[in-house]
Amino acid sequence: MSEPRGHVRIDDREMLARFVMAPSWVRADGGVRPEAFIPHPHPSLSVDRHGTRPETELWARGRRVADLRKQPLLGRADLGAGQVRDPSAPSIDIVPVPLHDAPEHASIIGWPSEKQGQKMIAQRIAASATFVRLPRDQTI
Amino acid sequence: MSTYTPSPSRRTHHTRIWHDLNPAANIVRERLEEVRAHQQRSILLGSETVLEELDRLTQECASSGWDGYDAAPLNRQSLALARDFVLNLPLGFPRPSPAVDPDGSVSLEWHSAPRRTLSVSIGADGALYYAALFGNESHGGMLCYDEALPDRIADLVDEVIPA
Repeated sequence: MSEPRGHVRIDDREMLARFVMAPSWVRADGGVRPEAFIPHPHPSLSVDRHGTRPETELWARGRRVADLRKQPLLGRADLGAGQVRDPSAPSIDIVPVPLHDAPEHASIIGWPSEKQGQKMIAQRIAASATFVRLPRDQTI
Repeated sequence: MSTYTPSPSRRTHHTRIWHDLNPAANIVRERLEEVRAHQQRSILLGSETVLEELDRLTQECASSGWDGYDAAPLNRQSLALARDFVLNLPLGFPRPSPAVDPDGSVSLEWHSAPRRTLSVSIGADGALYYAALFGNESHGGMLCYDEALPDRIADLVDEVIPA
């Protein structure tokens, strides 16, 4: 996956989604854990822009991701682009990385290489994220 | 690095020395063994849920890509250290909730609110990578695990879950 050159800045008000397929990354209270936002093995973290799509299309994209990886889709973590960007971690940014089957795909880039730094950023992102469980009528 | 409390394993050496002194010491040794066994059962009781969770994660995260992206399989050395870490937590100390990082390391979380939370990842080499969030204030760093709970982690847990 390559980063686009001369990309258009994603507005702080845009909503992003990180699809969650690991049960242990969702707390009993319905919150999402920071592990869901640690970039590994890639230097960036995949997210999808909500855009103006109906929610059913967002779930359809999540199901495609999950089907491709043969994992059950549990839900998605919603986060605002402005909550990802933080003055204390100025290298972090979100850039559009459209894929041929996912034009709304984006990446969170600029992660530090050391693990404790990644954990601190992932923890802050998780604190501002909202986990949305896959609705029952979207499971089929 | 200073430590929170001596781990049970550190007491074993002293017990063996007592055994060699004289027959009378054997009575003391037996009593000590009983106390230690009782203490170990109590520790296990406190940690049982965490250990069961780790067993479940061993199954769930055995293959690469278990997160739906490209996560590494659960690292066995990290798992062994995590079990040891949990078993060495002092009696009455809050127990963490385990998960697995995308790089295959076990992570332990003490959590009371989204912005009152501590996460510790246990590297295969015994490194402890921690991150804590209190309101808008972040803390992070790396420590070495030497079979006892580091003071720094104990202090952060106290902030997340006050006694």
